[in-house]
Amino acid sequence: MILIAAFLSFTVFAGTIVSASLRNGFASLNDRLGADIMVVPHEAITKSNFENMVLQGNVGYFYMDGKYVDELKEVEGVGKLSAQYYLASVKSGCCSMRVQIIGFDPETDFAIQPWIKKANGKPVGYMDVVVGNDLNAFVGDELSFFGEKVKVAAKLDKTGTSYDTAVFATGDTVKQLIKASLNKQLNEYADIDAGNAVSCVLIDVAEGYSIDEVVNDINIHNKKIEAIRASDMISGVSESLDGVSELVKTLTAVIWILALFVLIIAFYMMTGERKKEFAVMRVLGASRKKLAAIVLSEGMFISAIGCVTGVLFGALVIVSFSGAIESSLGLPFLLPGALDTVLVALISSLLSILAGAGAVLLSAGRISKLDTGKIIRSGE
Amino acid sequence: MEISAKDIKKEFIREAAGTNVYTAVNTCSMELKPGSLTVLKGRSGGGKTTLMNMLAGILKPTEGQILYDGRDIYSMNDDELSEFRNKKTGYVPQGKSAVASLTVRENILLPCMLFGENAEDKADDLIKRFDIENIKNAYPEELSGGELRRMSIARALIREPEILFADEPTGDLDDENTELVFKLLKEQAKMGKTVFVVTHEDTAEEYADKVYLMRGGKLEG
Repeated sequence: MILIAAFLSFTVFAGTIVSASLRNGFASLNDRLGADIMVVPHEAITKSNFENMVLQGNVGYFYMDGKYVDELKEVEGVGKLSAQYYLASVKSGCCSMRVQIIGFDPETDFAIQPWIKKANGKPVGYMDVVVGNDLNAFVGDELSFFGEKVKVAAKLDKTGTSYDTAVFATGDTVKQLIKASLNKQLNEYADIDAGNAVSCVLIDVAEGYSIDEVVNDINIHNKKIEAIRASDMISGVSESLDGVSELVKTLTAVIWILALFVLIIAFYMMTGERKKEFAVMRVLGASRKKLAAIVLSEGMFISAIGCVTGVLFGALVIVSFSGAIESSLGLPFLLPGALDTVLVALISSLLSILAGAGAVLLSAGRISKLDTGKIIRSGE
Repeated sequence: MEISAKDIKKEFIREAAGTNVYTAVNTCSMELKPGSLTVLKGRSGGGKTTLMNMLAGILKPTEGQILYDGRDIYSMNDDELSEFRNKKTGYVPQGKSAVASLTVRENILLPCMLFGENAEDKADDLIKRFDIENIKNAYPEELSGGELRRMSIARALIREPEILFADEPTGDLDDENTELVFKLLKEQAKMGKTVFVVTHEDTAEEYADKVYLMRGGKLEG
């Protein structure tokens, strides 16, 4: 019965944490995108699939002429604007796989620096990098990309998004790395001018202008580039998230009800088997109320031990397999903070103890109506 | 404490047969005196345990009264009657009656534990007196029939009750243990307790101050 109670609290705890992690991941992704519009070369949405790069963490890079930055500045309704530079590493000491390198312009950036500053506290210097939380690199480490040495200046907090496996640096640093990749003939775009190429332009629309109007304006006048609404890109994630979240909630509810039903039967059978014991207690002076209280407290005790076990096991499973859950769902996944986790654990425990108490009520009622004389007489 | 049963009768309704009533104990009266050991004999199914349960405050008679020093115990509510049973009476049930999850010592302490009271010293005295020191920390499943019976009597005595009821206390015991149990019960009567024993053992008469016979629900003697 302890196992069933543990299963009850495990289900509630794990289900709630998975749902909360999906919501957190989505909120984090929304925060990290940090712009109303993203402008990329047209081939980025076909060949390189920019959306997969941002949402799924697939590495990739693409370039367009730096002249578009100046052209975009002139588009009516563009407020803040900043260029980004992408590159994918071949291999590095920090990582067993290719990592996404993202460069930003320190003078104009409004999307990346605010949360990089939280981890670093100071501007990122030339040939310094800031690494995502999942990368096996730490402050002070020296990494090598295409033969160029860079120094880890800071490590970011977990975001639950593809940025956890990315490396960030200033535009100058990434341009230097692009040059190195070209020199080593490890860049698909052999004919680009590394000093003048940009990968993406982030735009915040000025007050009073509609995002749609600005997007249409850019797309109508520039055939070689593509303006994408950030909210359109994450709307697919939002829909998937709603679907998965609903599924998790439904599964949690179904499993919970089944486990509760099994617990009710188990308690009922247990008290049935112990009828003689309870009859003896009654003979020894236990009132009907006291017998019911004994059965109830036993049920609560079993539930309490079970729910603590279930919550601890749930925490262990979620923490150990969060990476596997994230990759299998293909959605941003960010575990809640310690305080929220403790709160969920407490609520799950309380719910499970109450469920245990509820399950044992029927048995307690049955025992309180025990026909002592009959049981003692029959020697059951 | 003097117990008197006045014109008591017990009828049961056979559930399977609906309204078919059968009489387990026909109308009868009896008195139990302090300092005496009363034996109720009879064949199985004769109504002995039913009569004893009525006397012990476990089963309300269909008719009549059970008076303890003149007070009708079935006029009490469940809480009062339960406390009365706990503090004034000791009961040795038929067959195995130990709580399996408790040790011998804990089983003996159970009547006190039910009321949140501590009687560790008394339990240790009883364990010594009944010669079960070597098994005090054992669980019931590890005990022999004789040891279980001694534990059961010790448990019935932990509250130092004025009345002691024992239902077939030697039912599954050999001659040696049977003699030992009757000696223990007689000793309690000599100490001033009212002792009532239901048995089919012929040797019980040697220890009895008064013997009743129950036959087909009718009390004789």
